[in-house]
Amino acid sequence: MIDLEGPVLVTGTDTGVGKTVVTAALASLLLSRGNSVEVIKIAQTGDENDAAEITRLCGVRARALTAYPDPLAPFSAARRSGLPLLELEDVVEAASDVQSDVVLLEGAGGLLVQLGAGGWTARDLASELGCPAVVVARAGLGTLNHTALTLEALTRRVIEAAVVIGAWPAEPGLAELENLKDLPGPRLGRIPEGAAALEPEEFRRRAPGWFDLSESPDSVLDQVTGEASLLITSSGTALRMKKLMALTLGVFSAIGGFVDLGDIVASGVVGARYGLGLTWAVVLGVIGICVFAEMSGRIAAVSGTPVYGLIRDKLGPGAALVNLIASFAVTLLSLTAQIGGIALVISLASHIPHIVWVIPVGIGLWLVIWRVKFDNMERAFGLSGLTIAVFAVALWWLDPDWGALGQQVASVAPPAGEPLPTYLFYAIVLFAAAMTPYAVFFFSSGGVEEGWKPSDLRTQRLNVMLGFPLGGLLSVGIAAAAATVLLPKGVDVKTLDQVVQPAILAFGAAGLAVALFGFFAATVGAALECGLSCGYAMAQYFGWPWGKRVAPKRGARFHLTVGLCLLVGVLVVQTGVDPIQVTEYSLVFTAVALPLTYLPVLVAANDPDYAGEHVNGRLSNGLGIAVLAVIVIAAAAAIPLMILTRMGA
Amino acid sequence: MNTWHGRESVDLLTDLIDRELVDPDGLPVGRVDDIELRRRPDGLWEPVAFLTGTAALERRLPRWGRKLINRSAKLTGGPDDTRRIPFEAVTDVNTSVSITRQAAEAAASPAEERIKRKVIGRIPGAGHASQ
Amino acid sequence: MRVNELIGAPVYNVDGSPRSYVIDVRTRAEHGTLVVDGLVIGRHHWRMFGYEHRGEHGPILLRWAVGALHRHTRYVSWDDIVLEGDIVQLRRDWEDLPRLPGLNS
Repeated sequence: MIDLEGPVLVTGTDTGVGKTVVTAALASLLLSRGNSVEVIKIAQTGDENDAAEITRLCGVRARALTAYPDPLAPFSAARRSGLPLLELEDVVEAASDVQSDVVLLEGAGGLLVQLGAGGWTARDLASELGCPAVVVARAGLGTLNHTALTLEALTRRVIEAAVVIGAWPAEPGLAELENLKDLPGPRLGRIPEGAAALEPEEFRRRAPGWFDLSESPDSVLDQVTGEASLLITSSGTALRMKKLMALTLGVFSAIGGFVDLGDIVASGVVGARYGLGLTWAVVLGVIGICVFAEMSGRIAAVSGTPVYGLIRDKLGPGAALVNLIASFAVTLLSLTAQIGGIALVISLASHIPHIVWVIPVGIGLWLVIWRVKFDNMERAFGLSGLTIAVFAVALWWLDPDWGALGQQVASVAPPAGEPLPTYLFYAIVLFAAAMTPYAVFFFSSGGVEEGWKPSDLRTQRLNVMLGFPLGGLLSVGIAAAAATVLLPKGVDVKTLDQVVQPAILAFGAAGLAVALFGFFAATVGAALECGLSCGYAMAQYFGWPWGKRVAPKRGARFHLTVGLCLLVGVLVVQTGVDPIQVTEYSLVFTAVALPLTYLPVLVAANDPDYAGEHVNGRLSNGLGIAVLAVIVIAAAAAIPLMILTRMGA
Repeated sequence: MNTWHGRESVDLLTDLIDRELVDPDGLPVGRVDDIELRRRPDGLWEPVAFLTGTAALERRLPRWGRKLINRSAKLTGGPDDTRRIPFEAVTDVNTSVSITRQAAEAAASPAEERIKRKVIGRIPGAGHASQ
Repeated sequence: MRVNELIGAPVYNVDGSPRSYVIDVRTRAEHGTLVVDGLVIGRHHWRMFGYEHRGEHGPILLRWAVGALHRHTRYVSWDDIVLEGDIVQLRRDWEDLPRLPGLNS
């Protein structure tokens, strides 16, 4: 089914098929989905005022770009009246320069009627804008041919289309009923005859019911975010398949998205020094992040409030400001580390020093945030991050002493000769690497952006409960590989190319390529999350409009904040500071700042205002408090241990 | 009818202040930074308007916070006057306070507008949500 | 008058001793509008996390902690106070004021 976002052309198989009523009905549908809409009538001809009619029916702002007095095709009407013709560029600009989520463009007459200077048609407009077309068709005899011709004309220019029957008779005859079965194209809806005569309130109320946004069973499974798939299609299997795909993708994205530069470095360093002896810390971290993310996600789905939204409400502006400054600083530090990490990864692949790459990386990140669609972005980097599994595969390939590894996992004390404080320091570092708050800011804000509802709870819970633990396994894979290859050699991991060794050892250049690709995806994904989270935290504290789902113009301060943070990150890394060191500091401070963000979320998860009927039960609260205890201990011990052990030397 | 948007009792600080004000599209307009009370002829006091803006927020912060916010606001041409949203403009209350479109437009942040015009609006593609 | 002028204002008992601060302003719904009903007053002005009027099913530890912190919190009806500049003067003795419902559970 076509995407009802941005500009959408409403055209017809003929004149008088009901485009105006369909436009008004579509607008009502979009309003009912929470979108903002406006309508542009490209050229009004004759005495009628379609724009006013649309506004009357559905209350949406509608205007005509130009009007000609004669009831002819616009090109001809203009010629007769001597009034100027519309330029295609002007219409494209008018259609692009709107504030609403969707702008419906109503043509005049059929698809290939000439509308303006040079004879451009509605089809040319849709092609220029890259937007889909809604084709309004008749119900009765003759419609099959007209509809097929119109659709073919659109397909020729690669314009996506869907069909709406403009006036379905109250008492359909044989022709109408047969045509209903044979009408080509994805069927978007069917407007009953006489709809324009309804009272506007009734029209608005009934209009959404005239449409069917579900996928037809033969179409490609493209819209996998599960949007509007609550309507029954004629093939229940296709619907279930689609939901399953959405779930799988979500889980895989979470797995791949779990790992960032902090996890990579911490796992590599720890693996080379303690083998798998600190796996218990990773387990604690994974449990912690699952609990934290689940509560935040639940709150986002039930109340539409992202984490930073509730912090100010729960703590008051003063305490929340302290919180904001701390979280913002830590997230910015993480962002800096990730940017450095990306540059490092590219330098490992290209043999050109990382300093050179910093500015291009910064620009690239900003462009992605500026232009790329939210869920595509998340999915792409999450899935690509799965390739970090190459370390687990390398491990298996290198045939390690599984028994020894198993023993290490079970141990909760430092190996002989290793001082306890350093051991505990690294435990905190690993724990913090798993429990990064920015991930939770991003996750919950993303949930609000994607419009999660309570019905999405189960899916999101599964994403979290499956995705994060499996993501933790990826980190453990890096540590285990390091344990097998680097620990016996007594390597003290300080650089990224050391962490990559096991992959090279097992698979040579191919292993290196895959590992670097995975690191690239993980660090880019993390950098995007950190950058956006800085913006989310700031915007949500102050109450600014925010998000990628609105045009940057409508979230100006949000985008400015994100842009400035990227700039700061780039500048800091340009000074030549070692990104690995920055990462280690960012992890320590993450641990310290955690309680500030976690506690209000735990409290909000118990508040019916925020969690509705899905407030924490005994188990959630038990786990929640246990995690809180660990977080507080880690926060208290982090800096003293850092100083005592001189950053784990 | 003794409820106000479904509530019999409202604690102004806990239930309304620091909540988000959102327009009919769900976009934030600002946060409730303060509430204006007015005395009625019969002697009772009633809350009449929400106040939002850096100036109203500053007053509630400790001194260091006030200075920080004030200096930061100055960087972007602020701090701006407090904007006022009458209680009648409220359309719904849950974890955020929904207000009418007119009230939202009247209460739009001048800082947002300035930055839109001077910075973000100048960059190509600012008019499109990520597609 | 603004709500924040009231919040945190010192509250003096009938005998003139400073006992507490204003924590919140409670209103009641009347004919579709809100009307100030009274003040929530207490020793500290830490946020109560919304417990004071909902008898939350919170994590028991937190409820206990909040309850302990707010054991001195009371509610005073608007008729029982006088506003003198930026000070609230009680017209009813502190000891007679009801404890806040919801915190006792």
